Amino acid sequence: MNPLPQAWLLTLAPNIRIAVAETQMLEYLLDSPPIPIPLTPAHCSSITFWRHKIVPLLNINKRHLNPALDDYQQPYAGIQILHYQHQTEDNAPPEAKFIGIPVQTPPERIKLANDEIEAADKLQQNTWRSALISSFKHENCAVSVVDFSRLVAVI
Amino acid sequence: MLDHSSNKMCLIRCGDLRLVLPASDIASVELAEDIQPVLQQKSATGYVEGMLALTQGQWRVALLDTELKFKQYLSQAHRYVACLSNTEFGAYGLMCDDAKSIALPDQHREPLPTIMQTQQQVFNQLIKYENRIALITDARRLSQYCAITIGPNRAIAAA
Repeated sequence: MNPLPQAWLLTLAPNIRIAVAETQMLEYLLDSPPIPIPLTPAHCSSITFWRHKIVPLLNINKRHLNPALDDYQQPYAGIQILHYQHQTEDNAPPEAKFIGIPVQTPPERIKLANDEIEAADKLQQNTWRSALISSFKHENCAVSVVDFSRLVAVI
Repeated sequence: MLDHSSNKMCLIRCGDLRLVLPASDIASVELAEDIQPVLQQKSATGYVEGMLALTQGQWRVALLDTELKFKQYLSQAHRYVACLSNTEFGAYGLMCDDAKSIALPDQHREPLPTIMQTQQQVFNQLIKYENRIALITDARRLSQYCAITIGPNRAIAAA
């Protein structure tokens, strides 16, 4: 019998949550203010330092969920550092990349029953649809499971 | 006197903005009080011009904020002007609080993350320096950015 899949819930804004695979989670930073970088896209205009690395912060709210939102004017509790594989050319080996997601509550680990999960093609969200793996309902809210290696490629 | 050897860089600080250029891209660092006030007038693009007359020619002076936007007025709060040596796009000087020569090993530089890149990128690398972020650029990119935004300055002919 397969174990129940595990995921982590990230709260981007009130009632807006996404889920990421456990393998993409790295570290949750409580005291790491964003540092703005000029002349960069609105959805990714700040960085933070993590383990001597410069890590870009992805403003998913602004870019994908609600253009009227501005993440950094909202209170957020911390930054979740994620990693993903990025392939620049067809035959090149994938590189490990890091990205930070500002979140409003600490990440929450959940287990999902297989019958709770819907395939991504049933989802109605369009802008970042190709970056979604699947969806499920949690506490009466739809939660999308995001593959960040795909998301970074499409934005 | 700035070190112009190829492995040396120049850190220009203007408020919270920190730019790092090859030291060879800085022609000289001059006192801001030498900016000719009589030439301070609004340009066609709406910016107040200042000119520095040096023996090599005339540098149009600009002031950048932390967002790399040009300020409309030259502030007397900044003591120096770093004159860019690459004049392909015009002769420009940047007002600053200080400019110093630093050693910058390649392994300390980080490329601007792909996700943050745009078509017109004034800088392409970042570095953490003294617990701050500095933007690594060069005179060619900066002078091109100045020329596009505040207008061209070809006044480099010997005075």
